[in-house]
Parts: sequence; C-alpha cells; structure tokens
Amino acid sequence: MTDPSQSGDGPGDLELIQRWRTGDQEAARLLVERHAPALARFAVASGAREEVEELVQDTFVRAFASLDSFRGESSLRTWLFTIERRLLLDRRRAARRREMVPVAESDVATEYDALDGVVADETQRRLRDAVERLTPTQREVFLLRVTEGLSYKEIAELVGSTEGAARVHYHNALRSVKEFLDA
Amino acid sequence: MRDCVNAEFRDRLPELLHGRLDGAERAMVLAHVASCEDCTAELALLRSLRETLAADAPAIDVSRVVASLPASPSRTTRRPSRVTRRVGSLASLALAAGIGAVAILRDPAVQDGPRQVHTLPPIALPAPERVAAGESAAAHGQPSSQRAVEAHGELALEAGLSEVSDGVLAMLLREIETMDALPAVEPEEPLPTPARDDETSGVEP
Repeated sequence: MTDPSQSGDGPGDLELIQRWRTGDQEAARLLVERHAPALARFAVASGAREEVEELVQDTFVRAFASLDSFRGESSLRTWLFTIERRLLLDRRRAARRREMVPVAESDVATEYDALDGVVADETQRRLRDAVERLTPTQREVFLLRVTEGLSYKEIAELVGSTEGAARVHYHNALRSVKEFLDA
Repeated sequence: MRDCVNAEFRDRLPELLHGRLDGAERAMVLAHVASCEDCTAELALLRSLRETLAADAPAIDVSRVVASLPASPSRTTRRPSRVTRRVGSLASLALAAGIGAVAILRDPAVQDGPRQVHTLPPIALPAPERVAAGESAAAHGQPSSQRAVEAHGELALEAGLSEVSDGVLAMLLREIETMDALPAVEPEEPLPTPARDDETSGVEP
C-alpha cells in the first residue's frame, strides 16, 4: 500500500518536516498545500461547515507547535486528522457548556437543504442526503474511508477504536447509503 | 444495488479508488472489478460520493494558514535574559573601575608625590544602548556622572572615572550585591525586547 504523500513527485512529509525544522518556510507551505484540502473535507463532513477555515488553521498551528511529538509511526495526514478531530470535539463540548446550539445532524441537514436550492444536481443531492442519514460514527468512518482513502487501521487509530469496529461501521454505512439510493 | 459476495475484493475498493494499492494487488483487484458488475457499480458509487463530498469543502487560504504557523525551531534565536544583560553591564563597569584604580595607583605621581586626581579617558563599553543613552542625556545638559546612572539599564559610562561621585559608585556597588543570581533554567520562550524607556530606568532605589 502506498502513502499518497509519498507517491507524488514532491518530497515526502518527513523530509518536508525536517526541512522546516532547519528553517525552510517553503516546506511548511508545501505541507499545508498538501494536507489542507483533506482537512477541509473532513471538517465539512464532520458538520463544521461554518468554521472550516478556522478549524484547519488551528489544526496546522497546533500540529506545527508540537511536531517534535510526531514520530512518523502513522502518516502525517492521519496525525493531522487526529488533531482536527480533537479540536472539533473540544469546540462542541465548549458550545454545549455555553448552551449554544450544538452541531446536530438536523442542523447539518438544514444547511444542506439551503444548499439544495442552489445545487440543481439531483444525484448529488441524493448522495449528500444518503450520507447525512448515517449516524455520526458511521459517517465519520465512512467519509475517512471514501473521501480520504484511509485504511481501517488508520481510522481505528484516529477515532480510538479497533480495525474490526471500523470495518463494521464502514460496511453498515455503505449498506445504508445503498438502501437510501435504491428506495 | 447488490453487494459482491467476494468481501476481500470489495473491501479493497476504497484503496483502489485512492491509488493506495501496490502493483500486484492493484492488478488483482482491477481484474476482479472488470469481471464483477456489483463491484463496478460500487466503485462508481464511491467515486461519485468522493467527488460530491469533496466539492462541498471550501478552498483554504494557504498563505493565511502558513502566516499563522509558529516559527521553525532554527529561527527561534535565544536572547540573553534581562538579568544576564544587567549583570554583564555591571561586570563591565566593575572591570572598568578596577582598571582605572590600577592606573591611578601605578601612576608615579600618586606613588611619590602628593595625591592627585587624574581624569581618565572615556571608557568605551560594548552596550549598544551606550551612545543613544549618553547622547540623550548630554543633550539635556546633565553631568556625565548622572548620565552614567540614568543609562544604567545598559550602563553607559562615557565620562572619566573621576567624574563619578562616591555616592554613585556606592549605589552601583550596592546594586551589584543585591542582584539575584541567574535563574537555573532559562525560559524556553524568547523574551520580548524591552522598551528603551524600561532599560534606561533600570536603577532601583
């Protein structure tokens, strides 16, 4: 299995990290360019549509501040997802403490309803609806697998679960999506 | 839409979609997909989902993110602490005073004749603030001994040693004795550069 960050023509993540440590700011830019889109997709998929840019930025700031703790045992992208997920959970807890409206599936569905007025593609709308109907855990696992191509092992590390549980969540989610689309 | 009965191949479809399979494994899965309608349909569904959901994510302003990142470790230069700099300045003064005293005592006029007070040439200290502080005080017509005291934050002694009064010297020596020892551990964060006003008002009562 190949690592997406290593399969391109550019330098690998570990090499860029090392270059940044020696003062190469361009290496930081390359890392951000490489991983920001995936972090943005994950944020949107996790229901943080309104704070994507801020969340992605905070993820990178926190990651670069603690790069010494990155041992390279997992891919950098998985490590970034872990940081972003933790930030997202912290924000949701803080929002609940402030008695703000928490991010719930119904809210995300409302946002998509609004978006639906603009997006004419019926197929895309149905695909989004199918995903939105998943439970939060199913959706998280499913999107990490489908949109990011993470392995069950990587997903298990990221969400603090097991490979077997990740596999079950993925297949249950896929079955649910198919059933919705076939209905 | 049906599920393929071959769970092993079916389980590899997301990796195939993302190009995460090695050569031999990729060839096997591709061969299966080519002969399996269910896997072909499922792969098409996964591709549509990926494209649809990816399109929902906004573009990130990379420059803004990069600008917010902490500096790389090699760019974080450590500046001597304020206490270290003060001790260094006062040590320079003490050294200069010692040299002056030796010069006076070795003067034949002092050894053989009646006691005389000699004016020593200006003593140049390495502190970068010396010129600015001294010039600023001189511009206000203050005596050089007073200038020396007022510029004490990064002590500037540009007058002859004889112009420094006993009271001023005693005050400086008292401060040397009362200065704290250097901290055992330097702070990790580089200290902010203090404002010039803070430095020139460093003499404590």
